[in-house]
Amino acid sequence: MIDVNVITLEDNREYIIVDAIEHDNNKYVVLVNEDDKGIFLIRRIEVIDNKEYLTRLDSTLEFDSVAKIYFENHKGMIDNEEK
Amino acid sequence: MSKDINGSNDPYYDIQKLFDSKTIIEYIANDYGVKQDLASSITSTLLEGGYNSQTILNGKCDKEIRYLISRHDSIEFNNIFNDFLGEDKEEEKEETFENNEESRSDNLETTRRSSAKRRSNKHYQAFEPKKRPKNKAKVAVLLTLSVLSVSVIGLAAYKSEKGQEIIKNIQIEKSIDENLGMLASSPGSYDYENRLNIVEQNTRMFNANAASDTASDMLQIISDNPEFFDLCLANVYFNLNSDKLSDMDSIFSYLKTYLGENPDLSMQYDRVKGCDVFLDYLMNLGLVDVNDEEKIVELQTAINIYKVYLERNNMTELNADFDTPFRELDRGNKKPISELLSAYKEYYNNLKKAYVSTVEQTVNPDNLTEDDAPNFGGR
Repeated sequence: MIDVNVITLEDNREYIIVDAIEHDNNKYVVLVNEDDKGIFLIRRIEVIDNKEYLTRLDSTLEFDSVAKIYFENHKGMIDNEEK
Repeated sequence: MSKDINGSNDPYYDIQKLFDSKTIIEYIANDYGVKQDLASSITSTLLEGGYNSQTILNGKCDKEIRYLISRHDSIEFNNIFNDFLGEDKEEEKEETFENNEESRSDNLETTRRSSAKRRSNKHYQAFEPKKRPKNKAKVAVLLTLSVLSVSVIGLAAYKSEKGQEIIKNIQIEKSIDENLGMLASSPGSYDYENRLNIVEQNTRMFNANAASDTASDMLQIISDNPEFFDLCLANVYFNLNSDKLSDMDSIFSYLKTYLGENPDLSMQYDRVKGCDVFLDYLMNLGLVDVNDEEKIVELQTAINIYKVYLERNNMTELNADFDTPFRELDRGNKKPISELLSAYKEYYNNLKKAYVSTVEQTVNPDNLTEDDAPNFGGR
């Protein structure tokens, strides 16, 4: 067993936080759910009155930008360029 | 190629939508007992109406789905749905932080790109992560699949920046324990500055440490999670060198057997059973489209792989119509790609017609193109 950070979203399902990303002065988390293998969610963190809130992204462009960073962060696992 | 809500063309967004759509179609078809084509129409309508896949899959669109099913014989499917949205969708909007909207927008104005449409649907939820013990192996699969998803999605952008050569060199080869991690052990609240350090922790959960094991690793994932074979196969295709194609034979052989024995996976089986070669599978999946000029690069890569497939399996005679123009291209005659596309399109159409003729009674003539006309009533 391993301890992981999880968050329960608006659908009352628990999501594992697999990464946190900073981009364009925003902070994001990448989430996966045990029942939806292979599908990941990205949520933006917004600070309101010194408290952090999750919210959905504004556009597919925002999703693409963050997903691309996530890919870049982890592409080593599928990339043998450095070998 | 479809357009996203902002009207831009994003191939990797299309791939993500493709994956989401398939899951939703299956959900609607199974849970509501409707045919695939109707489930597909409803899925498109819901997604175009602004519902996300999670909302639909969580059963929160039950009312809308039942309404659309009841009106499925209408030609103006989307118009009806838009009218329906006009009546009821406002009730569903949830603004848990409505009172703070004004002050929030002042603070975030310079850092967010928001649209009026999206803002109206915005949902704010307190970010309070908690620790939970999870099975390591399960978490490993989740992480692997999420990165595979991103790799497929990210590939389009990656390709545009570094070119096709990079794609050929990408392989699932490096051990995950060097790269895969998770935000698991940070004490207290999040420290974003230490993200990379944290990511390096909690590894060695999924071992894929040799290129020769790539296909078998993927096969294992597919075996454990057959519903994701599209994703895994697409990833294998994009990331394997052509000399690993023999492994694809194993995967296809396995899939056909496995899916054929599992009636619950009939949708997946339908997609794979008519694919005798990998290129057909890719076209079936929508990753290669001879009618889409923007996907020619993918086709060229597929052709390179297909060439090896033909040679290794002595299939040149079986597919001579397609193979001949390719071989001329390969010898340096530089046949225009359009000629190659034309040859393959003809080859594919012949396969399609042969397939359609065997299941004619189950095919909706409204979905056919003019190329299919001779098979249906001599139009």
